Amino acid sequence: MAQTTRHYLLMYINGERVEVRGEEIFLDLATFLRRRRGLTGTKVVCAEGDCGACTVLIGRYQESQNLGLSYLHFEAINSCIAFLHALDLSHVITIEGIPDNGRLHAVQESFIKNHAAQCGYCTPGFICSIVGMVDALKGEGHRSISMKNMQSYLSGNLCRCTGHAPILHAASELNISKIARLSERYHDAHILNDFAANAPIPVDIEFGDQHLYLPVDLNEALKLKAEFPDIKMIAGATDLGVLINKDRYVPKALLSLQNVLEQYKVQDRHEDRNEFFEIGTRVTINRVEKIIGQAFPEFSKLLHFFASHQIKNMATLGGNLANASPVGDTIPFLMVAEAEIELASVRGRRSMNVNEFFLDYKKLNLAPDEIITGIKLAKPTKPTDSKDQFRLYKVSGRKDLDIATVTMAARFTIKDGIFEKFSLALGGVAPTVVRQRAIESFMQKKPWRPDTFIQASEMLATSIQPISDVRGSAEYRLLLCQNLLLKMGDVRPKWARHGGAVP
Amino acid sequence: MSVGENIPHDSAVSHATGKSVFIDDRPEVHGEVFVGIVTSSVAHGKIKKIDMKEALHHPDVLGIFRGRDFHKNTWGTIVEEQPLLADPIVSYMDEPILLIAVNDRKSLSTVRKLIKIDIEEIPSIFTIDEAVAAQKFIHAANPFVQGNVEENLKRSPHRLKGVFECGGQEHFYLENQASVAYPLENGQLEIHSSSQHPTETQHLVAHALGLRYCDVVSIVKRLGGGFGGKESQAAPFAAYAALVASKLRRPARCVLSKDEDMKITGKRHPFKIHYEIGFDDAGLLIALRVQLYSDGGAYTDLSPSILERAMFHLDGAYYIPNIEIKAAACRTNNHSNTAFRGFGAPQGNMVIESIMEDIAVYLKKDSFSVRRANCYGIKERNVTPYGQWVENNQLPFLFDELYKISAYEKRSQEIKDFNLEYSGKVRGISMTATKFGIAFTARFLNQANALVNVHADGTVQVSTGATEMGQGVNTKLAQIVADTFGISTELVRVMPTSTEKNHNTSPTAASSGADLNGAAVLEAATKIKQRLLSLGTTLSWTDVVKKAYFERISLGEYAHFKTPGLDFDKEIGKGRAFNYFTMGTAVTEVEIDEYTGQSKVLRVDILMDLGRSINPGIDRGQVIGAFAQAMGWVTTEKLVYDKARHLLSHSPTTYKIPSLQDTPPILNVSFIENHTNTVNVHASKAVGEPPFVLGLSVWTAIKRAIGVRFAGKVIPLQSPATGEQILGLFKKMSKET
Repeated sequence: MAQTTRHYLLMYINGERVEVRGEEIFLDLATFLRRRRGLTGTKVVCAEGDCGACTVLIGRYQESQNLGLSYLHFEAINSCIAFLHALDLSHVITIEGIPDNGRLHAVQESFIKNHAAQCGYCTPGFICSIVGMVDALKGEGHRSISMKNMQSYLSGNLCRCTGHAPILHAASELNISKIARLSERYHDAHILNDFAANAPIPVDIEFGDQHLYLPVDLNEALKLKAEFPDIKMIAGATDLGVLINKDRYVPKALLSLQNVLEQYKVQDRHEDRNEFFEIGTRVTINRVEKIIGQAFPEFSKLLHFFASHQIKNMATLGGNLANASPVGDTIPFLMVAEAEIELASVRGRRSMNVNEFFLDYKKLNLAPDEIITGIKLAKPTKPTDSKDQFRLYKVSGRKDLDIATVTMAARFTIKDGIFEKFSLALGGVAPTVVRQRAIESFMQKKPWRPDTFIQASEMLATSIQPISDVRGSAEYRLLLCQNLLLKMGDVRPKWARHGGAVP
Repeated sequence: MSVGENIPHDSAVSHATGKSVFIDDRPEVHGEVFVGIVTSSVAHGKIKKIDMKEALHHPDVLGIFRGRDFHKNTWGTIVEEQPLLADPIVSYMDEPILLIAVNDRKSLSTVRKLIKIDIEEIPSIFTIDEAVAAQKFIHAANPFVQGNVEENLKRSPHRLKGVFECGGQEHFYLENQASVAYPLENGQLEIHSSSQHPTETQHLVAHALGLRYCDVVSIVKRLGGGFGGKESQAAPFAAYAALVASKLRRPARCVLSKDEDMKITGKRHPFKIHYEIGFDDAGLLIALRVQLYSDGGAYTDLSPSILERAMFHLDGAYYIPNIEIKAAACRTNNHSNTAFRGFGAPQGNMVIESIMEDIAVYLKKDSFSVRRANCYGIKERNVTPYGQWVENNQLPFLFDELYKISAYEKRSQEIKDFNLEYSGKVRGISMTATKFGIAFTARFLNQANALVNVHADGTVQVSTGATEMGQGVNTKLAQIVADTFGISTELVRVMPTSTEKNHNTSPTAASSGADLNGAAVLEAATKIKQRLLSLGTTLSWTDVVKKAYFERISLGEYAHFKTPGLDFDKEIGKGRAFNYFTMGTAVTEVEIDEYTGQSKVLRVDILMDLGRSINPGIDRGQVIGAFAQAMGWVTTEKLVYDKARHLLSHSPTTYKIPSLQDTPPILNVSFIENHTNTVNVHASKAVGEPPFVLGLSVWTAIKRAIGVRFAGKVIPLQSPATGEQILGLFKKMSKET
């Protein structure tokens, strides 16, 4: 097929075809919808993906192709930090597209009846999230909505008026078997054909001093990265969006693998007798949570609190690694799991243990021409192997959708009550996530006994020097890390050791 | 008929379809400019030089304005002392200094970087202690005194002394401050803003630009949340848009980002309270001496009134025979703190509820029995510290009834058992009460006017000074009118609030929106109805309206209402300050993770007296919403500043309001039957703020839960009870024992 170049992004909005060109490709979706398309039902409050007022639904052609679907599956995202350049070949549904031919959607009717809207500012975002939840649950064969579902799908929306209870009530009353999914309502062969025709064409858009490249195969991407080492690689760009919105960063040249279809794959691989997950860089955290949940139930639980549903529909493991946050929600786990990062450049491919990847605050062990192409995660020898255990903790001011004060990941094997192997990684206590080698060696061959954990927790007082910031003081961080170790060992904190409860 | 019905909010459909228009949803009109704000980089200082030459050359810049460009640069709801734009003295970090007018808001970040402001720093005062030491006060209130405190403290068998601090709170309305100004002919201006007080906006814009009130029309369609944050502090942003509109003769829009809004605008007042309480063996209060200090911030704003309401609510639900309340609002170099749902009452109330827990611990009693023993009586022990009787007192019933329906006794035992068995978690339960005085304590504000127009087709338009911010006042007003005429609410539209229809209005605040405006609306509609009745009662509504028109009978009416009987005397601190009290009780059960200090609300039971509710569905929403907001205030909502006084928690990433997961898994809300509140429209009761105070039960329950590990010890918990504070207390107190 003759490779031409595409100089525009192709999207659909509420069923309408839109070619995005020029300056607009660098706009965030919310601004584009509100100021260029007159779709002001989508609100912007925080402009950092933390309140959900800007929630819209997107169906991604690339993802549906990889999942082998013959339709688009619509998922909630934060439009305020989703840039148009990250949404090529997507169909966007906004609150204006939720009613069906002028008839209100069941979610809207339930909101009206149950006083789930007061001032109305968060309402369109909440309704989009709930519509996305209904679509997803129906797709998975559910017949009703549980409290757990709501807590998971609606964690990224904030309401200041209602106290959320009326919203939960409105959602819980839905009879999802009677609701038509957006994927059915907006199913249109013409749209899919249009996307299919455009998917193999690389995108190259220049506007002023800004440049966007969306190559369709990895080698093209590597060539670009070799030619322009300063080019900014983007994955879900959930953090980049915040930086741009808050005037802290303006990238000039962007390169994304979003149209490299193989990057959406999660593959089971065998090498010798070991089994691996090989996770492409375009696999969203929500998909990771589903796919590897069985093998790593603890990690799956952590991902549940990792971020909001909207963020997890954009964010990726690779993005989380490359962002190199000192807290790095997934990083402590990946470290103790000894995950391998797959790197590629025109010079060739290599893989690196994730423990070697972080050099200093936001500094990566990555050559200028290299790109992360995947994460390799060894499966536990047996999914139910109780010998190889993980314990993952995240403590933050609020339990959900809150950047952690500290994160902790431990992994150990135990035999006859004696630790054989012990790995420990802490986040939020240093410029990068750090392994605790001194404690790790201390724990070798130690019995699982309270004093082992107490001694280990006391070692932390000298092995970490956390800082004080908006999320907590240094003393609090240290105390948390110590207590998490005690919690893991089921050892009582000091104040509960003697005397205990008072009747 | 329609009064008392649970009908949907009048904007429910447009909210659910995204069609409700908020300020920044208004289409940009030809020539419209955007107004950006440049703020101070120091907390206190004198502006030496502003270099904006380079910025003025930016192709997108149409003008840059300073304080001196206003006709009058000072404003203030109570004292006119706050500059609209600091010039030359800046008094708090991020105080507005300049306005930039641009074609495209995207240019602002570039333009801001081209401006250099040279400020010479002046030493700052940031804390209440520093302000007290320097005797920097915005206002010192006349004390409330009852009985003889000195003597009775001395003769009290038990005394506890303490210092209690509670933090501020960001309103976090979802719609940030926003205004658009349109220049009209003959120098007139039309302002649309997200304001709880359109009249103040009108007046301030007129003062600021040297216009007459009749030349400014201020319109409020709705607010995306207010909570008090747009009572006084919405007006300056309207003045910014108005200045640019009038200078450039172009429509001008001023809309803040969440970060700007949180840094610039004031918050709930932090308080520091010193107290000494005397009580007997049974826990009965004998005497209380209190000194309240609030952090008013850099300017007066509403601080004196907020301080007063804290004094009025210090008694909570409890009779205190001998009491002395002294109070002062401190002047600091912080953002100017302002109204926030409860208006000082939660801070005042928190002192006494904290004391109740402490007395219970000290006497080894359950805190319920201490509270119940001290509860205001029906026939005796029912005079407040300011001399008003607690009439129509439902408190004893609310305590006893909730004790029963929440299964308090049984659950207390279960919690004791739970705490005896080690699980890494401790639980606590506590019941607190609200007795919220309804009326503006500034007497003149207790008035409202209403315009009711019946059109020839039988449909009705209603206009008042009330602003709709989600609380459902429009729906209630429509119900009152529909009820008066005996028609469906479908025929009634409540129109945008506009100063050209309703003038000299009070802010929609103090929970009074439906009370005052509802009474005015009722009067106007009743007058029309009486005229229609003269035409015979057999005709249908539409026919009688048609007939009235042809008979040349007026189908429109205006009415004015003022709350009768208010006579509080500020000089002596005595009198009838309130029209009535809205009362309620709440029981909250919490669980604390002993390893992390994280707390979780497990169950909440609320019982309230809302009189005859005009709309029970809307009232329920107010109760739950207020409770959740208070829950946030006392737990996760912590304002964090750095040394220079930059607000570090200026967005939802760092400032944590309750999320959906924080919703108590069990949340029971009930109302009692009470048709005796005849002093208010349709015997209803105000609901906006009173349930906020009930959120204190979350905090007192946490206090109890921590106490599980430290028997007989008073837990010096402050607010907010963050995980960090809780864990720190565990550690600190275990060292002491």
